[in-house]
Amino acid sequence: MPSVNISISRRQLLQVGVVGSAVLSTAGLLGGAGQIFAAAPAGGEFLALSSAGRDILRAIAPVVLEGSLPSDAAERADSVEQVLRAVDFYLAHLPESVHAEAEQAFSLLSLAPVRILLAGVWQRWPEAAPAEVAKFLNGWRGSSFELLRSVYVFLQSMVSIGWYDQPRAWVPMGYAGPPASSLSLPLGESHSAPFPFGTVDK
Amino acid sequence: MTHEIYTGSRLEADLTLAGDVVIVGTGAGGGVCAEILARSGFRVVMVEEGAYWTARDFTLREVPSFARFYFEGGVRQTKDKGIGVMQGRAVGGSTTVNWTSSVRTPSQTLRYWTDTYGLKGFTPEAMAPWFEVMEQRLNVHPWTAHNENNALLARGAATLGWRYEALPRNVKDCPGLGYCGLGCPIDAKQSMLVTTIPTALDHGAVLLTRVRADQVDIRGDRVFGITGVALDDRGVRLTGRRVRIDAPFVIVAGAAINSPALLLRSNAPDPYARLGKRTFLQIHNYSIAIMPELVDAYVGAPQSVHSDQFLWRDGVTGRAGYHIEAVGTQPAGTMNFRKSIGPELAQAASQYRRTHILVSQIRDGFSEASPGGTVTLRSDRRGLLDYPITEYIRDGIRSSYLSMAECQFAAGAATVMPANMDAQPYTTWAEARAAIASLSLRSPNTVVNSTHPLGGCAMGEDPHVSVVNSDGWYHHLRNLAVIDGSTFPTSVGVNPGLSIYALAARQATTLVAALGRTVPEEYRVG
Repeated sequence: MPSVNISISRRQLLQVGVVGSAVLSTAGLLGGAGQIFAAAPAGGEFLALSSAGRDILRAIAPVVLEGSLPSDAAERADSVEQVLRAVDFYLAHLPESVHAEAEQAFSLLSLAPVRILLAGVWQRWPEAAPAEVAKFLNGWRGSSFELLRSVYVFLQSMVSIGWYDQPRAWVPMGYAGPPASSLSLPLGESHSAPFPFGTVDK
Repeated sequence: MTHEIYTGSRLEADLTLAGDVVIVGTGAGGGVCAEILARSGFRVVMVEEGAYWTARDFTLREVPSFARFYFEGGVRQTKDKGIGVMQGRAVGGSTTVNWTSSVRTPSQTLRYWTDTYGLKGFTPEAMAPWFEVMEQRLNVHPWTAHNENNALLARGAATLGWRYEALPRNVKDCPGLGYCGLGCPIDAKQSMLVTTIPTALDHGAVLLTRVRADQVDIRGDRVFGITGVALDDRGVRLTGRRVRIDAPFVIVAGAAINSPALLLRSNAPDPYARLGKRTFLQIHNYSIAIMPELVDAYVGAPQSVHSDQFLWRDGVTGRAGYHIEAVGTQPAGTMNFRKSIGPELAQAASQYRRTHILVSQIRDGFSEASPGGTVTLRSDRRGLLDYPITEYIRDGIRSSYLSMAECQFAAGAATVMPANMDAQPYTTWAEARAAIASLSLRSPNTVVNSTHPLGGCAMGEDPHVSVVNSDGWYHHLRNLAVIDGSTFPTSVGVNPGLSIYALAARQATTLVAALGRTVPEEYRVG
C-alpha cells in the first residue's frame, strides 16, 4: 500500500517562496514553457525511469537505507540497482500522466539552481556528498512547505518499496519470504503466458 | 469446454461483437451479474480493463503485484494528492486482491438508505435472503484460526470491554497463507476470478480483457452498446485498436470513480448534475505498535476480527464513526507506513516481526458535514476524484488514533505510534493520549488511503438527488443499469464486498425477470 504523493507544479513551487522564485527565474522556468519538464528518454533497459531519476535514486538510496544495506560493496551496489529496477517496473505500469509527474520531480531536482539552492546539494547527483543528501532529505521531511514534504515522501517511498520487496532486505528483518517457489523469478516475470487472441481451451 | 476470450492488447484489428447484455467490469458487481445473466440464457459480453491474471501469476511479490493488479499501482490519487485509492484492476476486479472480509451491511446503514433515500427492498429484512444466497455461493463462513495479529485486536478489545467479533471470509480450503492482497496463488479465495466468471464463461459469456470501456453509445433515452479502447500489455498505452459491442442492455459495473467517469465520458443525461457526486472513501488511517513478542502478521488470514465499538458512537448522523480491523504486514507495504530514513528506518525493520498494525475505516456520507467527494474527468478522459479532508474526517482520524492506541496498549504493546510523520513512538497510553490530542493532521504526513471507494452513481427514488433507482436502473435512460458499489448512497461502514455481492444478486435477478427470462434456482428468493 505505498502512499506515494507526487506532484510538482510551477504554481506550487512558487509557494516555496522568494528563494524558490529566484531559483526558478534563474532556471528560466517562469517563461511558461512546459518543455523544461519533458522527461529524458529512458535509456538502456529501463522501461520508464529517466537518467535523471536514476542519478537521483542512486544518490539517495544509500542515505535512505543507511544501516540497512549489505556491507559488501558489490552487494550494496547491486541492491541499489535492484531498487532502481523495482521503481522502474512500478513507474512503467502507471498512467502516463502520473509517470510524467514523477519525472517532473526528478527533472526539477536535476536543475542546478534547485539542487543547490533548494536542496543544498552542491555537486551533481552522481557526485553528491552523502552528508548533504541526508541534510537535504531531513530538511524537506521537516519543511513547512507541503510540496517539499511531498517530494520527500515520494523519494522515500520509492526507495523503501524498491528495497523492502527484495529478498536481501528480508534477512535483517527475520522474514523468510512469501510461501512460494516464485522467488527465483526475475521481477515482473510470471509463470504463465498471456492468453492468446481468440479462444482458450480449458 | 471452449471459452471465448479476447485479449485487447493482442488485437490486430478493430473488433465488433454483439450480445444481449454488455457488462463493464468484472468485480463484485459485474461478476455476479455475469453469472446470473449467463445462466438465465443471455449472451453476456464482459469488458475488463485489467488482465486475466490467474493463480500462477500470483508470485506474492509486492512491487510487481501492486503495479499489475491495481489501478495506478494501488495509489490512485485524489485531486490534491492527499489520498491514495486502492482498486483492483484485473479479471475479478478488487475481489481478486481483497482480504476476503465478507460482512453483511450494518442494519443501521440499510435503514438510513431506506429512510433517507426512499430505497425499496433494502431493509435488513428484505436483504437478509440475498446475503444468504451470496454467502452460500462464495462459501462465506466465520473464521476461527486467528493469527496473532488479529488475536491481539481481540485481546485489546476484550480487555477494554469493547464489542468485537470474528469476520466471515469467502474462502474454501484456505491454509491462511496471509498474502490475500497480492492475489491467491492456490485459488482458496472465492473471488469472482474463480467463481462467477468461469461459470459465466461456461454458459457462453464472452470476456474481453485489457479493454477500457470508453463510451456508452447513447441516443436519446436509449443505449445501443458500448465502444472500448484496447490497452497494451502493461495496461498503460492505447494500442489504437477499438472495440464495439452492440447490445440492447448495458450494465455499468466499473465501481466508484470508473462508473461515473464512463457515464460522464458518454455524455449521459444528467439534468440534476448528480453523476460523480457523493463519492465516499471510508478513509483508512493506521496505528503501528511494537509488541514484546513476535506477531508475524504476514502469516495467517490478514483480517479475521473486527470491532464496531465506535462505528455508531454518536448515532448514525452524528460525529464520524469508525470500524477497527487488523492489517496484514507484507514487508514493502508495512515499511511504507514508515516515512523515516537511515538508522531510524533500519530500526523499524529490525522490529518487523513484532509489528502490529490496526486500521480504522471512517464512515462517511451519513451527515451533512460529510458530503463526500466528486468525480470529474481529467484531460486524458480518466476519472479523477476530488475528496477534501474535512473537519468531520479529521475528527474521525484523531478519535480513531486514540482508540487504536488504547487497544494496542491494552493488548500489551511496548510502543504505539500513529502512522503519521509528525508522531513518535509512545510508550504508555497516557503519553499517547496526550500527544495524539495535539497531533497535527496534515498532508502528506498523516498516512491515509482507501480500499473502499463507493458512491458516485447513487441509488435513490428521487432523480433530483440520485442517479439510479433501487433496481440500479439509470433514471434518464431506458436500458442501462449501474450495478456496483458506486450506487451506494453513502459508505457502508464496514468492508463492502458482501454488500456489493448481495446488491448485485438482488438487482441482476430483478433484471432477468424484467427482461422476461427465468432466474436460476439458486438465486430465487422468497
